[in-house]
Amino acid sequence: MIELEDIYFSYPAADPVLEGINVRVDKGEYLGIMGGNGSGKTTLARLMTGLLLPGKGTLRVNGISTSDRSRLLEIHKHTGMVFQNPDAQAIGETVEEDLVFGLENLGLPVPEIDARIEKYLDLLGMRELRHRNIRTLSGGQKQLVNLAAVMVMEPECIILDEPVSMVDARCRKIILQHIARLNHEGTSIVHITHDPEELIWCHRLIVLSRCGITNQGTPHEVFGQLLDEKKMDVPVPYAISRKLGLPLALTTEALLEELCRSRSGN
Amino acid sequence: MSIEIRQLTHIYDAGTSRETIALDRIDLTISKGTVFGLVGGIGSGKSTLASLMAGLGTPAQGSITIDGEPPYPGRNVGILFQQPEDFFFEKTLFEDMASGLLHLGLTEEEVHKRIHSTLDLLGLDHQILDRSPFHLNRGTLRLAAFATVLTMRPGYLILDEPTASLDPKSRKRLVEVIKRISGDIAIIYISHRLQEVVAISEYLAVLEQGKVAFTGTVPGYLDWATGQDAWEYLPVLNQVMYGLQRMGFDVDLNVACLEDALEQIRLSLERT
Ligand SMILES: Nc1ncnc2c1ncn2[C@@H]1O[C@H](COP(=O)(O)OP(=O)(O)OP(=O)(O)O)[C@@H](O)[C@H]1O
Ligand SMILES: Nc1ncnc2c1ncn2[C@@H]1O[C@H](COP(=O)(O)OP(=O)(O)OP(=O)(O)O)[C@@H](O)[C@H]1O
Ligand SMILES: [Mg+2]
Ligand SMILES: [Mg+2]
Repeated sequence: MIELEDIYFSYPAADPVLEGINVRVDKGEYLGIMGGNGSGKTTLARLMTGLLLPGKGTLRVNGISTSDRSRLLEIHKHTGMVFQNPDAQAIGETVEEDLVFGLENLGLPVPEIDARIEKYLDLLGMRELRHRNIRTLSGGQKQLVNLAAVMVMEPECIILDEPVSMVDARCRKIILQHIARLNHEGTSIVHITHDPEELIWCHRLIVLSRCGITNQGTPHEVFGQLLDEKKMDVPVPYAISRKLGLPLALTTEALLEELCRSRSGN
Repeated sequence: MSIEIRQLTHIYDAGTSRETIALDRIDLTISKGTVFGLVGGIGSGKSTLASLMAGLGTPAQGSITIDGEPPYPGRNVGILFQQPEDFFFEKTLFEDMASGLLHLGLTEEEVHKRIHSTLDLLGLDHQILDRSPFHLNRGTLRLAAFATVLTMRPGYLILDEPTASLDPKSRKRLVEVIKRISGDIAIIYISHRLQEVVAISEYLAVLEQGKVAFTGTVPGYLDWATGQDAWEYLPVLNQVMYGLQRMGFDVDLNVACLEDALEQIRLSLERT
């Protein structure tokens, strides 16, 4: 779906941000990206959507090079991105206008547009925000709108840059489950976050630093490494299950099951 | 020495079809020398309350006083906005940081000193001062916004999601700084990161649809949340302990850290 080969990138008059980065996101894959502040995560996301071009190396989305500017529209048809700054994304004045905009560009008939908007407003539990002016929403509400605006397009690949950083626990759970379901149905996902607990559903996880990719593997593998290196947070249930020598658990529910089992095993 | 909030109500777009009662008869007292956590679901009114406490906007009804005076931003109260982008207007970070201080009537020398010592406190590279705030990565931008508010040395400091988009290292640093300065001032700490709020706050209030659903100490808060089986209000660590209690394990709900939790679980497993 997305291939980055030996990517170099620097902003004008600044030190290089990415040097020799290789990343692949397969069709239907869910890739998590973690890494310190300023390690280049957002830059990587901007490169993946063709908003920035690599200084060196090739970057292809569905086989199309992002440097081929004549085919940028095709790339944008395949991929959608939720921005880290929730104000950077809105196009419309009201929530509805914002969602309609992209769908009209896809050339969908009006009833289909309406049906899709209903569907995603419902899924994300934000029906009552439909006619609100986006600028007057709360921080978390804006993030919901941005997610809906991308999901409603039903792209093949969704890139999420800290999509739920200002969302409460209940809402976050709903959103994460929904992202997992989209992925299950075939959507490729790239999910950037500082919060390992958001990445329990991802297939593969990479950790970025200014020196390149320092860790990669399944969440279990990478969380294990991070716990040993003590350099980053891992999900609490994972840390507890590993330190107690239980089968590894990524969620509270799974951990409680393991603890229950280990007690009856005693 | 405190912020007194009495019967505070705030309504957006009153009288229209979009009317939103953001705050509904809020009563709170926040004393100097404490960290006061403020939590609640999205759209529950936290940022609205924050900006009214910071003297930005006039409440529809009720009153807010700080040490008996009305809130006056930059004088008796400072606020870190939820979105750090809202802080910056100038070409360089330095100009942005300096403008508020110059406005307070400080000399240029004092302005330089305050800015540099605050960057040191937060472990920020002084080189960022010459950069455009809009070219900073978001975590650094948030730290820079925090530094900007700190230089003003407010007696009451409101932090709206201060650690969103920060990596674990910066988060730890910020929490240390807050602990260090909170002895002399009051800090209002708004966050969806419950683990953090519970660890840092002495008192805590929960907003639900503009109303105060709970106010009290941290242990009181945990009891309140479990009393209504509201898992979503518990930090993950306390969720685990609560789940274990419900399964009949003999463990405390109120654990301070991972090690504490592990110790309790081990002991409890040995006993069975
Ligand atoms: N528009 C820009 N112009 C110049 N430098 C930039 C620009 N955007 C980012 N940078 C720099 O590039 C580096 C990587 O930034 P990036 O935003 O990709 O980091 P990040 O990993 O997303 O960080 P965060 O976790 O804080 O969001 C940082 O040093 C940042 O200051
Ligand atoms: N300027 C405004 N005009 C109209 N309605 C507003 C405005 N600002 C906020 N609201 C509404 O008031 C309610 C409270 O918003 P507020 O920003 O205070 O919530 P919050 O608790 O900070 O939420 P979050 O956790 O998402 O940041 C929300 O329903 C929001 O949509
Ligand atoms: Mg970023
Ligand atoms: Mg808010």
